[in-house]
Amino acid sequence: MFFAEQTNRFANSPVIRQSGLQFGLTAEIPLGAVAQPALDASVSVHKGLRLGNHIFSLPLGILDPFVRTVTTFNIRVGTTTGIDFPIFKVGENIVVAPRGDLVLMSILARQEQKIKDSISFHAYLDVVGRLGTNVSSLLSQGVNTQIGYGIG
Amino acid sequence: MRVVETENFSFATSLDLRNSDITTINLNRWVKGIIDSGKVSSKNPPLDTKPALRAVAGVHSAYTFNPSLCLVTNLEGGYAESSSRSKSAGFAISTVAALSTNWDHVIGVPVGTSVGIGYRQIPEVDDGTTAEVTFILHRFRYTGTEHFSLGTQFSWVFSSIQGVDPRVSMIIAAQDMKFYY
Repeated sequence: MFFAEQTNRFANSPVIRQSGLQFGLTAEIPLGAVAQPALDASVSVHKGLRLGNHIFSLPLGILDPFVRTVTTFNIRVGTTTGIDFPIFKVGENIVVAPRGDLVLMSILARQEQKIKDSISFHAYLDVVGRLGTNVSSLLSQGVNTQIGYGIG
Repeated sequence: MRVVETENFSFATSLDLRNSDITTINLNRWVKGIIDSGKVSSKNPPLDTKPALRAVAGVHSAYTFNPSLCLVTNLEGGYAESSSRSKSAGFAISTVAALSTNWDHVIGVPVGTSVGIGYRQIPEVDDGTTAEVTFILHRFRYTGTEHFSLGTQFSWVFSSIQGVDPRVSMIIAAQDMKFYY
């Protein structure tokens, strides 16, 4: 099976401790032609998030029970599906646009570093923007931005 | 920090400290202030910035039923300041449960998916002024290599905006890259 071939190839690969980018380069070269460092037995079995031979597809935005070194980048875009806003009165003028939407966009960069077999440290930076798409939604919700950072 | 790990089960705890600066352009207050007072004053600034601190502890688990199916759970709780200045800070929780499926074992295609449901009181600027959010998520991920991951996630978020609309739904699409070392 394709999966079994993939699994065995990774399990026996001497470049398992190298980064994803480095792997992309070395994968093009026959393994016998390069110097092969000894495989460290302490390399996490969770490389790529594996447990009980299951490779995970973990939801974004939550922490997980795995300890490993990983760099994450993600970008999000979103929109509401129609919001009923109140009628606004600005001076003598009534702004009537009973329905509107909010749009959202965010980017995040996160680094998790394995310190010991059971402990890791993470740090991240994210920027979020949210704004209305018409007069009513802009008046009601304004423009919101958030720049956040965290450690754990 | 990993606490327990067996062949099919993993359990870990976490601490997360986060600080944010939230800036809001309040057009409604600004325009009304100009009309009422005839000028821009400190009482009607267009920009409003506040910090929001969050310190939460969490427990996280994963249990693999078989190579194709796994359950992931996540529960976090702690002190969280709201993104809205009018709301007070306090204790808040967030929880997610998701089923992760690896289709490689089933159809030979290196794709993983997960479906999950979550509930969040911990405020995010995404949610506006609401206090409680429920969401459903569906994620696709390429699993052909263990050195990096490419994934796409769609989330349907259900919340409310106080005084505006009690039932707001939002669709969010996310694209991510992860590099494992």
